[in-house]
Amino acid sequence: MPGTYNTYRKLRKVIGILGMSLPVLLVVLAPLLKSWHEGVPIHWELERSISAYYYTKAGGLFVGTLFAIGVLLLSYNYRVLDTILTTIACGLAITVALCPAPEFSGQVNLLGILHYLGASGLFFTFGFMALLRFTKSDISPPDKNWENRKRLYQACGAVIFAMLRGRFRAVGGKAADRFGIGAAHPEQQLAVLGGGCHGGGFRVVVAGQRRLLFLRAVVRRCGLRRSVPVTRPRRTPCDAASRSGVGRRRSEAELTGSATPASVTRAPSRGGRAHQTRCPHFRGLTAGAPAVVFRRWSATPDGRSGRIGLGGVGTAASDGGPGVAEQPLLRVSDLRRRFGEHEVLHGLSFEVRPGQAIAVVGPNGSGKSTLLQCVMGIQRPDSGTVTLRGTPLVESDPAVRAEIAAVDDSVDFFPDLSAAEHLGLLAAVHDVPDADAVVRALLDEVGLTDQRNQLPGTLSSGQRRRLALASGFVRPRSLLLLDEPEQRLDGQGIDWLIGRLLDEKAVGGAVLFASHHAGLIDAVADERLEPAGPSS
Amino acid sequence: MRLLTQVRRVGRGRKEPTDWWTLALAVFVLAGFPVQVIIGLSAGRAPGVTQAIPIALTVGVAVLLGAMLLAVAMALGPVRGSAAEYTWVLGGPVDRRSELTPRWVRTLTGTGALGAVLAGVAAAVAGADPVGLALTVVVGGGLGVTLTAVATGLQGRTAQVRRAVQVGTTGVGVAFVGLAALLIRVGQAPSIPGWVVPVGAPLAVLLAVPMVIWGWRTIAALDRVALTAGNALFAAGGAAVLFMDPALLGDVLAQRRFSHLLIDRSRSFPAGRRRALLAAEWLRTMRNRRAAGVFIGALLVPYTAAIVVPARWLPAVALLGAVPAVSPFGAGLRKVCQSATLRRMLGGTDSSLKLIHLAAPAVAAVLFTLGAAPAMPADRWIALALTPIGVLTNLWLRATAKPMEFDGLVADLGFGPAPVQLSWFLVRGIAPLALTLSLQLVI
Repeated sequence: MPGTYNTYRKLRKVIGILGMSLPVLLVVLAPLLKSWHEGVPIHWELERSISAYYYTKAGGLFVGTLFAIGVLLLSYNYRVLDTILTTIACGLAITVALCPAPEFSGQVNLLGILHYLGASGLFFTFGFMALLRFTKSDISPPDKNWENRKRLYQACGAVIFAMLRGRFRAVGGKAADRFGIGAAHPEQQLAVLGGGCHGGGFRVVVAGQRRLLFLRAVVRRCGLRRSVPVTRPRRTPCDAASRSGVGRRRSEAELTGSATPASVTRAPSRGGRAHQTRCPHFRGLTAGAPAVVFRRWSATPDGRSGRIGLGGVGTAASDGGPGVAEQPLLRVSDLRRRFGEHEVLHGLSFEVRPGQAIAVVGPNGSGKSTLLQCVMGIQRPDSGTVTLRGTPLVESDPAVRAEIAAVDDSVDFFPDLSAAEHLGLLAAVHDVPDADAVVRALLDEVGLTDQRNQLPGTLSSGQRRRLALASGFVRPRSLLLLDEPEQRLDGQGIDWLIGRLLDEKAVGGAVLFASHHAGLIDAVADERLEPAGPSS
Repeated sequence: MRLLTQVRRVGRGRKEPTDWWTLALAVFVLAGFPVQVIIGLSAGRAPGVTQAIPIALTVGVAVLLGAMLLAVAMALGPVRGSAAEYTWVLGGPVDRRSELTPRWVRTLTGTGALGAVLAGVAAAVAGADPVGLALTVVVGGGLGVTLTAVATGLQGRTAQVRRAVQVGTTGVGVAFVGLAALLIRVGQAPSIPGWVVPVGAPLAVLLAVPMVIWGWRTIAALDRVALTAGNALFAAGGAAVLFMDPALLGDVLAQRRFSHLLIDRSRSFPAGRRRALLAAEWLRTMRNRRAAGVFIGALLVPYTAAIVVPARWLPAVALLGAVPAVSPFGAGLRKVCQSATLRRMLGGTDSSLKLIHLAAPAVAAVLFTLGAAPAMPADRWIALALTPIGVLTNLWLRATAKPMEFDGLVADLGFGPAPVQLSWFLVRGIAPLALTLSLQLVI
């Protein structure tokens, strides 16, 4: 529709010129009209009030201009910033419009009305222009694709509307078909990319290689899980045949989830505390003081976690023993994670049972931390499921947070609470009885007694690491997730850690940890899990 | 020249016709806002009748402003060199004074010009005549240069000396403002006499000379610690300005603030989830002594403004003062909102954690509102009651903001592509304040 396009273009110019000139005229004419309304002729030196009016106006204009130019100069891309500024300016203009000048109280508020008209002109100008820009194609001259593009826009709107109605999964995939896009291009998908094109605006690209980026962004922003069937391209029989050949990475057993990948191997376990070494640095063990051991959360008959209370202080397993329970605590099925073209996790499947420790091993970049972060809920896998006691693991679920204690590099602290107060707070919010004694014992155990009153920012990196580890041990838990816990620990610290993790297993706790330390892995791990690493 | 001509031609060809009027419109609209504010403020006073501003109040506000600028200058340097620059240039056998003097002169010139402009604008707003305007510009320029020179001189002194100067100047400013309030209350507040500006101009210049000499002598003795102490803050400030994200500066400021905090005894917390979190929040608030100082200082703002600002504007002034007053009490909320790790460690739902940590700023906002109420007539109390809502909404939206995304959605508002998420990130804190302020003025 070239005629429609040209009409839009002309109309946009007219509205733009009017939108710009009208507020200028209104503000410039405002004092003149004010003077006319009050019957005072305009004269620069006639009255002090009029003089002061212009004086302040000029001063404000000067300051405002300096401010605006300064902000614009700070921008590396004024095309982007000017739009931000105009967006903000709309709000400011409306604010000004709502604040009529108070000097006209009790009289006809002519200046206030003019302000309001000016701001309204600006507001509607922006609104009209956005509407026009949205409903027309500004990417290319009008051509036969114009109607098609318009349908695409409408499809986007339909998807958004459906999403707002909470029916994204059901309707979103059909939106393109409804407007004839899907039927016309069965192998193509709709992708909406922002910016970067001539004239700006939503850039609509019909391309089979690109996914529904816009939809992904919207869904991600709304906190919904991405609907894989909607976003994944359809696979043709030809594709399936090609994928079944040499390049196939997963076995049938992996697909069904009935077996772990071939990289999961049994590791010799060194049960009990025979391996534990007494060390002077970690005084809790050196002096023969008992390590603090808590009872874990256990499953209630309905399969969900329930608290059975905390045990006292002991040095050996009080229940459960070294055996491994039959029911898995954590189950990971067909976990996949990609970063761009590189797939880091290739359909990993494994289980962690109470009393069991699994070590994630492999070279740097092989996906150890990615796997742990997917289990922690820090990263969302591209596909696959992670369940805790048979329920999909949601990181923000309080029950999940109560069961999982995680220590990785992202451990954070309040900058104004001391080391002891951090542990005390964690113990208190998790209802640990006799929290002070527990904290004292744990601080003594990790060798931070002398630093108990120090703020985290004043601790050394090794001391912060010990505090982080202590934060995982001070609270009750069913599953302990550790990402390279041996980092920045000396040899005695490693020995302490081994003893701690063996205790964890002995009382029925599950441990999933990533490590490069052969001694730690040999001593603690029941199984080893090796992600295959990235592949294109 | 041919190449330059070609480049210019290419540049002209790339420009779109809408660029210039878009720029002009942006400048115009932004410039219009302070114009309207100044018009409103000046017109709020009776036209043709300038209310006399007490001299004690002027001196107090000026000293407080100077103390604040001095603190900023001392935190940044003002003479600064990167660690690499110190190692490879200043650490070598070069004359440090000759190396540092050019940048110091540029700093002096800049601050002098800034002081002159600010003073000139203030004089213009006050309706000064041309001679008075020129003399005020001289006073402002001289004080700007003096401020930087004093900060340079103090840069070579110990932290205790700098701290003492900072506390002393702030105390003097607060004392003058309190004195002004007292004098106004008893009706004995003398206004600024006419001879202050003509006498002050040469005095400001005379004061600047020895201070500049002091600073110039100090430069040669500045060591590595003094020259590089402000680098982290400078870098964070630059990043915060460039990315328009004040949170980037907040972490560095918190680190500096708590690096000096000494705890003699760790406190324990009561059992129970909410009680423990509230007790920890209370403990952190008590340790942030600066928060109390900022709160009290901000509480003086509406009382000071009541002298020169129409009563209609006082709730809005209280709102703007409440933002910095309440913000330090929201440190726990910001920390919990920003750190998913902390939320996982503390357990419970995200919303419950955030709401518990909203308690301290909520109490501070209510106390501020109650404290500011006597500063304005009773008929403005309804408008004042909106202050906690606006401040807490502002705090909540700022604290819960996700990290700025530069690759998010882009929409077209008619003037080119606008990043939607980026724009919302920038206005989400301002919007509730603007809305509340508008409502306060309408009511």
